[in-house]
Amino acid sequence: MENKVIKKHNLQKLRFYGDEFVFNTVSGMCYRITSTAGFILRSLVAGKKNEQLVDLIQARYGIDQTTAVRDIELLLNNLAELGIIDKHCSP
Amino acid sequence: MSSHPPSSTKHVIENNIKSIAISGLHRGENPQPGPSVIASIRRLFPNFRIVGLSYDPLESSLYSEHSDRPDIAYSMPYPEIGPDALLERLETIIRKEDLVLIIPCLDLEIPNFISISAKLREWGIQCALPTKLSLDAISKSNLSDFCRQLNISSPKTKTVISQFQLEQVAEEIGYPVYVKGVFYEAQLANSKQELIKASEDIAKTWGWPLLVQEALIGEEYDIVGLGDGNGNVIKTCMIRKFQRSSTGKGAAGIVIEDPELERLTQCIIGQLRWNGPFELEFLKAQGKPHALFEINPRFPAWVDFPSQIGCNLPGRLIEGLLGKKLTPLNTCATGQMFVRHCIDLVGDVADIAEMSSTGERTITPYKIKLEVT
Repeated sequence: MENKVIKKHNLQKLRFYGDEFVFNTVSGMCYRITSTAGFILRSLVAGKKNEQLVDLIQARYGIDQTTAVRDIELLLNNLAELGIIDKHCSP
Repeated sequence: MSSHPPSSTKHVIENNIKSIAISGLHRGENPQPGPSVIASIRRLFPNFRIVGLSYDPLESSLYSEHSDRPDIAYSMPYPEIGPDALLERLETIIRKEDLVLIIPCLDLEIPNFISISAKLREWGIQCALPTKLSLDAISKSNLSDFCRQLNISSPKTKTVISQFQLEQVAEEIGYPVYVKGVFYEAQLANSKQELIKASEDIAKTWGWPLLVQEALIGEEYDIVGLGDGNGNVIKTCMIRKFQRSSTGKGAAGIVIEDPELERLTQCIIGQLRWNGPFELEFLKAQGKPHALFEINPRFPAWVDFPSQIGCNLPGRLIEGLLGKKLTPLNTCATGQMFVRHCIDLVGDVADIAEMSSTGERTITPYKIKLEVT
């Protein structure tokens, strides 16, 4: 998995309403998300590293590592495109 | 609101009841701020008598049964007639009302009120107004230059004085463009045909010159606030308009907290040394900076929303101008939202007749009579 870091302060602007609804307090945008996306976002807000996310997703959904890495990567790209998170490559 | 003062003129004079005058009293498809300002004032000062300065007997708040109605309305000369006519009419009104403060709520009125501000002070009437210099700087035709000076993004805008120039500038900017009147109204044009139609429509009502503006596509963010005239912002509430009418008016908004918008607001209001109410309107396309596309020199029609959640800006304006104890203003909580709601008000043609023939009308809420059989 590419080594990308999502800065903690960029996640503090997110407010969750249940597992499938998130509000960005800076942009004012609201999003309906899947419960899996909600689980990953909450984990990031709780300070989990991307590598830890893979383990968490594997354990929760019983999928192999390659699938978990790919799905997380796709989701993070989607979230960044939508402006829900800001993604920065670490040096 | 139960504690409205009795509204007969005789009673008002005899009992020294203080009045505040508000204009822009129509809440329709294009809602004006007056009713919202009145409702906010009544939340903090239920005993002030509210005088409506009315430009049309059909202005909707003249028929309201709620806290957003004036106690009495006086018909006013149109702002285009100029400051002398305004002064003359106010002179008549202050013979009947103990007017202590005026909050003009329409863009077109502000230059006239600036012109007569010395006279108002002489009469002991308070009115928070920007300087003529600040007002000129934010006019639709000067806003682009103002933003350039502050290094703030804004849509490309040009003033045009003829049909030929209009078409030339639209081509230069690239379609789609907005065609705007100098004071009011904007129409989107996607082609030369639409451009010509929009310019004819707008020029028919507002005349030339017109403005041609680059159409930015993005989310709209609005900030209502008060400036103290010394470059400081007293308080703001910022929202994303998440539902807009076909004319771009906010039908729903949600409170946000964006440090960048806060910085921009401080920068703009600081530079203008803005005095009184303002509304800043920004558009933001993804990945691009906030672009300032309008500054309104008055409260917006949604100003009663922050008042309802503890940030009563019209109330603060009155406290400041009348030297009253200042009520703390809450910071509006992110996620709080408003949705605009339309209702049908009941009136009688006699109300229109009274306003049209005498130029004033005492507003008595309509009481529904129930007949029990």
